[in-house]
Amino acid sequence: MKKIIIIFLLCISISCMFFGISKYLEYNNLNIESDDLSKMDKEIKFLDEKIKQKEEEYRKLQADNSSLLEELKIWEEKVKKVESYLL
Amino acid sequence: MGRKSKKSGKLFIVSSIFLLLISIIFLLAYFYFDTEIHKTDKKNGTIIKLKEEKNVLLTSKKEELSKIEANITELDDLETKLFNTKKKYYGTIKELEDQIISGKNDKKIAYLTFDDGPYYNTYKVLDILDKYGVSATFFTTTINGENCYDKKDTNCLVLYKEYVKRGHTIANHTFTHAIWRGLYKSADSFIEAVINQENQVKKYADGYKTNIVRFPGGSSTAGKLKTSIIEKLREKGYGWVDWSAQDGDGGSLKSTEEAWNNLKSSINQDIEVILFHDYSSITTEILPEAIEYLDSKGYVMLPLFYESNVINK
Repeated sequence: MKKIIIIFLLCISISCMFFGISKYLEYNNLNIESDDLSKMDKEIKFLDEKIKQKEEEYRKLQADNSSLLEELKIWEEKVKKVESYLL
Repeated sequence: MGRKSKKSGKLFIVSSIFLLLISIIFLLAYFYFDTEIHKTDKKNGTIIKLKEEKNVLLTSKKEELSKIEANITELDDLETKLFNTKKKYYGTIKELEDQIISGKNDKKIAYLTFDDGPYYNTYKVLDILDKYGVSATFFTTTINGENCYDKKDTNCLVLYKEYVKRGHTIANHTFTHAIWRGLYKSADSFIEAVINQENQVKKYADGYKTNIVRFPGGSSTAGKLKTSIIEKLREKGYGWVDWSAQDGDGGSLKSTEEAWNNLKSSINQDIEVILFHDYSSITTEILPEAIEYLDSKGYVMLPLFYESNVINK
């Protein structure tokens, strides 16, 4: 009788161990997404800075090439005008 | 026997308690981790939502950045773009010419050309052309030297830059224009005068290359030399053109009426190359009316270009 009880208790404790360990493993394997989130925040910040830099570069180039830009606009208009004469 | 059963009784109790304790510990661990998993799932749910939002933001930022970068590349390559736009412009005029010649398009083209400049009067001509949004061709020479013949204290060669800026074609009318003083002595003397004029234009209009030549006095003035001059021009990559209509301002015009009659009577083709001189005050006077007249007759006024069908190559 004692043996049966011991075997029964052994079975229960093994089952509990199994469930407990498997739950632990499940918890351990769970991704904590917040790591990615901070990476994304960093990337957004980096992009913001880069956009700011590039916008400045673009404005400077625009100022430096203003006469060329003006000339280009005139020629583009001329192209449109001649194209309108085509069939 | 009694001791043995007591001992086994103790062992049974200890073992049972031990196994029960293990079971309880692992059960507690099970519930603890299960609760933690639920908490994390809930937290992750919120994070996933946030991630989606941030992903959208990231994509839009990346797009914004690539747009700016594309704009920068475009600006970096502005000169090439300008060159290509000009090429496209002349290509489209060529297409229009081809359609007119084949009878598919009932539009007409008038190439307004001005010989012998630059003069100070050229500024007036340019202003009139600007007012009507018309581009023309200026066959230039340095016969008058650096200063304007009609305003001696003013440099006229700065006008080369002005022609380009206002979208006109600079063409070549030789450096000397010396019809009776050696220009037509030989084919080489003519070519030399063409190249000298080319260099003069390049000097004042930042490397601008002219590749269309007009013989001073017209190609017939070259007489027997015409064929050999044309051959040499072709070798050097130049095309040449005379004219098909004019107001006669190169001769002894007496009135605007005479100029007007000359012009009207000489215009009768679908594609006309009209000769004017930018020193002529009579031409300057009739030019606005002439442009309006040509416009009313269905002519579009365009600048000449090397690939045009009217350029002899």
